[in-house]
Amino acid sequence: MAEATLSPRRKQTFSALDPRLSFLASQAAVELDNLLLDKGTELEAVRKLGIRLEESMESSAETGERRTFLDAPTVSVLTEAITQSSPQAVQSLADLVKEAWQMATDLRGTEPTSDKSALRRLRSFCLFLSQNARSYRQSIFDMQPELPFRS
Amino acid sequence: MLPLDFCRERVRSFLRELDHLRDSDFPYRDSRDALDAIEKVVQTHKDQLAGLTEKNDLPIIQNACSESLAAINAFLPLLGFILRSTNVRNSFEVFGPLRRLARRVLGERIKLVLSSEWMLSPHVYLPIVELPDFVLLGLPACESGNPLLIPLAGHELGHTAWRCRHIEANYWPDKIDKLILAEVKKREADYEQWFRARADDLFVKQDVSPACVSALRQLEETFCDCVGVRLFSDSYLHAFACLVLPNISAKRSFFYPSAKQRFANLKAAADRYGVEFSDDYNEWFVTEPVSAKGSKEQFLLSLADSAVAALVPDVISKAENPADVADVPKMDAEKVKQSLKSLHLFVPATDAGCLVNILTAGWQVYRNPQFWQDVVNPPKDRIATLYELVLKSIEVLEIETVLGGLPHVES
Repeated sequence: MAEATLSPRRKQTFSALDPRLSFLASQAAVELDNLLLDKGTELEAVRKLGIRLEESMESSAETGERRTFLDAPTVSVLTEAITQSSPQAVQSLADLVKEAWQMATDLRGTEPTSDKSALRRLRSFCLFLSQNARSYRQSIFDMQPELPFRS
Repeated sequence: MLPLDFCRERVRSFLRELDHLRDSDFPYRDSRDALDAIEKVVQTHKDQLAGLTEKNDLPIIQNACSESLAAINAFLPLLGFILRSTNVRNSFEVFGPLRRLARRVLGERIKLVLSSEWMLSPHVYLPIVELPDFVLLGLPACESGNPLLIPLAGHELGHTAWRCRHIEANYWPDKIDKLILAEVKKREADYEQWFRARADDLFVKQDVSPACVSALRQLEETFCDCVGVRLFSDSYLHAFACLVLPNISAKRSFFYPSAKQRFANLKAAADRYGVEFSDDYNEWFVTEPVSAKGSKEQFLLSLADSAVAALVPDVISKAENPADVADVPKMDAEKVKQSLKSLHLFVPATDAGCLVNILTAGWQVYRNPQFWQDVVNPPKDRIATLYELVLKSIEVLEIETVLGGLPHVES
């Protein structure tokens, strides 16, 4: 199995439970929107998001097989964001990794001169990712009783 | 005025209030530093909103506004917490020794904000991702004069240790996911009943993700309890039982083991760390009911519990050395004995060495109603006298430390 040749797990930097993810995705969506409006060319958040997403996956040099380090909540949030922003259906984990890899590559490679329809698709992905991550975090938070038994 | 201006004004109001708080009389710099850290985060939201115009796509504007609202919602209670850290109700005597302990365990960059809270839960705030170097410790206002509950601070230090040492990566997501998916396989019929789907498609991982989060959070809480035992010895178990026994919550929290299980885990940790603990509060703890029996929530919680049970021994082992260094102070029986002698004479303990020795002695006095039976004038209010003596002992410890009179103190 190719899995044996992949490196050990790295620290996860792309997590639906991290409140910074929804904000980063929001910043990326704003940057892409500004680019579409010819209001600006800054793409720092877009590239940072692409890098984080890419770092959550790994590709085997020998077989090209990819695997993801994503946890279950992030798989859930990412699947939703990809499904909402792209015509591609995600029906398996392999589909998700393939689409996410493509999305990460596109985000990293975004340029002010990129094709407008591609920019719109990425903007849409960033927006849904931000919304879904925030909403997932809130739904988890809501499971906690109002006055939890804490110490 | 545009609706976007409402959002901008909300953020501006928040930052204005934060600025007003800077005028407060902070006894320690850490509270002021916490304000600076929060301001930095909220300022990024202000900048983002400032860059938007009505020409931007409406959903993009709405999302940015929602993000800023979520940030204000998260940080506003913290501003109140920081303000209350100036209140004279707080036992400022414990700040220095506690911060030194925190720095010993978590590193010199760690800052502490100590406050009294109007909630019975002793420590209200989970570590905040945006403020990674801060330990926010809230003690219930009605117990702010009770130094014997200080060991519960060990739990909060545990949260920061969990994050700083990336303990989570040992379990998340691989081990937890595997254990939970294996449990789903064993209980396919239950899964199919609740989710109306086969247990072998992509969505099983999404469906059970709340159980994975629950297991992760339960492990973190267990780790924090164990850190409390490691740092404060049996004082932590007494403090834990004293404040929450038999349980506070009317229903089982999704993020905590049941109160009974928590106490059982604490005892297992005490055994592992060689902490003597003879009192058995176990029968006094009750297992909180899950909100609705036979519900999807109960099914998910049972999946989480099965994963947690398998991983608790490893968590106990990881918490034994929370600082990744060998010299976090341990309870010293000789120093405790020496402190007891001082307390018996109604004088603060001297040369106690570290907090855990004073608190262990304090708990021994608390649990022994005969302690002052043989003195000529026994105190009318034994507990109030004890609290005062323990606080004074902590103050003496701080003075001794500041003066550098002790070779082996916490810092």
